[in-house]
Amino acid sequence: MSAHSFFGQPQPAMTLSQFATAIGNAVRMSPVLQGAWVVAELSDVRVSGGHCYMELIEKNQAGQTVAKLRATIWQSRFSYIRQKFIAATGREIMTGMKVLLNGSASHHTLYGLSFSVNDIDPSYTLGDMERLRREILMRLHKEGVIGLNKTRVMPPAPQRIAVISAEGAAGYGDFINHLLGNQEEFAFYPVLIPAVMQGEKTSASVRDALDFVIRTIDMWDCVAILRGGGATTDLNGFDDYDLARAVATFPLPVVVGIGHERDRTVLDEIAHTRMKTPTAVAGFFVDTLRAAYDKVRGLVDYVARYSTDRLAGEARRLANCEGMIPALAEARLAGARALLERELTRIPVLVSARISRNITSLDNYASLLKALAPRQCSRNAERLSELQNRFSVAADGALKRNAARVDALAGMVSVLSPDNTLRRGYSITRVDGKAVTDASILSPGQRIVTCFRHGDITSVVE
Amino acid sequence: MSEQLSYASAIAELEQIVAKMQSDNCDIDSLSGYTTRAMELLKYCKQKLFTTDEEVKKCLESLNS
Repeated sequence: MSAHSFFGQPQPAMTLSQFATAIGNAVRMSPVLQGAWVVAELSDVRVSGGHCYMELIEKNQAGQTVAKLRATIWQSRFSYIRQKFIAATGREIMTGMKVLLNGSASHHTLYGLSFSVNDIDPSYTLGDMERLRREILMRLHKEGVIGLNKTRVMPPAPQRIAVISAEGAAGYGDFINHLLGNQEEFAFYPVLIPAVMQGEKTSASVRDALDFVIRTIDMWDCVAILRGGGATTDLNGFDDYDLARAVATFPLPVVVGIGHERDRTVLDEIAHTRMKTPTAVAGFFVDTLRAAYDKVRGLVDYVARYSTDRLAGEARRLANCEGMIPALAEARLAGARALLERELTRIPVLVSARISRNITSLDNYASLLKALAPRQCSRNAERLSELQNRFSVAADGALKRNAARVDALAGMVSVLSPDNTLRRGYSITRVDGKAVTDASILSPGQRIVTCFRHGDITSVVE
Repeated sequence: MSEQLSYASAIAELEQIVAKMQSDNCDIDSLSGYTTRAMELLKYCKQKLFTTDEEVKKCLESLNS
């Protein structure tokens, strides 16, 4: 076929499909483009009809995409490659991963250029994942927060647990069953705070859940972040700096059960406690409560045993004392008796000493007396005779005076006596034996008796 | 016991009692008091570990709304 130029002669040309075929051939023939190992970042990974379709991209330092190529892992190779990758990394091939692929370029007349993947080297991806994790950990270490959550104090009996997990996920179900169905019948209070646990929304969603826990912090003893149900799934979301920092700096202890046996994310390194699976996390809580209970029982046991032993010991002491008392009393008495004996033997000695001292004393007094007595006696004799003299003088005088008085009185008595009066011529008249001094008392006819010095007469009153 | 005793402080108090007993300064008269308190604390801990506290449960459930 030919085309006519404006000025006449046609240019030799091929059809598009011929051109495209030529491209295809050229690509197929180029050894560089066949069986080549290429590193690239994965984008838009999707599986359809057993084939895995993806975009290979390369970004520069600034994050701009500088190269792009469509790639396919045909079904015939995909199961092998997928298994190989999972075996090495525990992960599925997915968007965001950096991979080392082996394959060949091909050009299809209709679909254009693409890369047909023949093999994969998972160690590159592993290395990359490791590198990413290491970078996050380094950053947290530099900021001084890497060990922070491990310093939080897990209460001895954590029962109020904030559980961050996907609603309805098998992992969460296993955890709850194991926790609430525990053998010892410990009481727990787990509350689910739902979050997205896979894909690129993981970090933001889990951080929102953590914020909710902080807002209600007094209600919780700790946090559990759970995911996983056995199948290998996207754990990339957990190798995220922002999420890692949120967990590292979290004020309550965080327990994570988000991987499997082998797989470790950044969160596994920085959480307070890391368990392999959600079931293992439940086991951790049950074990913790059991240990707390054993501790309390051990302490109370000690208190009871100590009290019993102490009381038994005191009872023994008391019994010992009781036994010892008679012997002690006896010993005491014997001692007192001995003392008494000793004193007794001393008494005669002391007494005779005292007596002889007293005798000596008496002798001394006697001698003294003998010496002093004569003098005293003569002094006394002198006094005595003096007193005698004074007495006889005084007595004489008194006697003489009394005699004089008596004489005087006698004289008066004799003068005044009735006899003397009668002698002088007086007479005494008596009536009925009594002397009359008043004539008026007499009445005519009365008998009166009159006494003269010599004799008396009886008369009758006229 | 009506105080807001926590499990941790119950353990701490028990450890204190044990320390007093081990210090040899413990006189017989205190023993009865210590033993009684230890039993009280044990009862408290058992209750905390094994009995569901309805108030706590209700409080946490209300969070879900």
